[in-house]
Amino acid sequence: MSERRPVIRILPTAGLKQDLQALHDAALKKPQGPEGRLLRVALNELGRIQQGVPGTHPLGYMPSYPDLSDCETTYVGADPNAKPSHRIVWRERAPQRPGEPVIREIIALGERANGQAYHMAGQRLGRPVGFTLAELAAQRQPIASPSRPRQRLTGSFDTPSMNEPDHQFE
Amino acid sequence: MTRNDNAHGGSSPGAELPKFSVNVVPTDQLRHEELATVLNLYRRGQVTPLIFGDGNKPEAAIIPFAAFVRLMKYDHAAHVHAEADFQAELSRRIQESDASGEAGMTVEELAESLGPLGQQWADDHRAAQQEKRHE
Repeated sequence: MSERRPVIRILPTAGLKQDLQALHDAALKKPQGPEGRLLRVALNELGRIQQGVPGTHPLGYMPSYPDLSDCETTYVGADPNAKPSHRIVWRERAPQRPGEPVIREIIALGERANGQAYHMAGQRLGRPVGFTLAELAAQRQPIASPSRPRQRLTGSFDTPSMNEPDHQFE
Repeated sequence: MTRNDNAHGGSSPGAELPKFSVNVVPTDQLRHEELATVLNLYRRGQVTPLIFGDGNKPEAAIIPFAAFVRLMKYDHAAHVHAEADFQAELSRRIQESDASGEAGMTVEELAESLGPLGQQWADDHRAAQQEKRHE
């Protein structure tokens, strides 16, 4: 007797919808461009996430990025002969009650270069660079706190470190 | 004498009054002395309620103040009840909306919301899934 797989539903954030919409619209404008293929591959990967396939790997905490240690990353690339150019960042929420579906929240689809996808995901989850989830949870108002140096927060979102080696957080 | 057919009634569900007759005092030619007379009749309880109107059409009623307060209380209770129902319905819809937002969607639904390319992908994906199930 085969084991029944849990039902998985995806919950796209508004930002993720915008990421996909931009890709879709670009593909419509340039039917021969790489965007159409990238869109199809991204949707295929989302389909696999919905089927319960794990991500390419779980994410860990790195001080130069927002803490996404509760998230997974799935690699996406339009060119099978090149390193995947994009990342889908998502996280799973266990059902609150028996019988409810597992929710996989899709947070961002972004470029791998400069960790763009991860910075986008952090921004959408309201997580500044350099703070662990535990630190954020311990603060009641992590963003609005006047005691927090402002430069550190704005700098973390607007100017992600360009010197960060990509292989550290793929 | 005229019959009241509840033309102004019916605001309270389940509280329809049976038809009743009233005497309407015409106001178009009512003089001061006559007004004093009917008011005295009212005070003695001989005309209760005292109804005024022209063309035998009831327009206004003089009723005991206690009855007026009771009427106000009744209307207020009906208003509070209606407001509570409205708020309960509002809460129910908000909760439903929140729940549906958190319930997620399928990737096919997400793709279809993008436009023609997403729609095409969703169709292809469904067909491929169907084929896989038949294998």
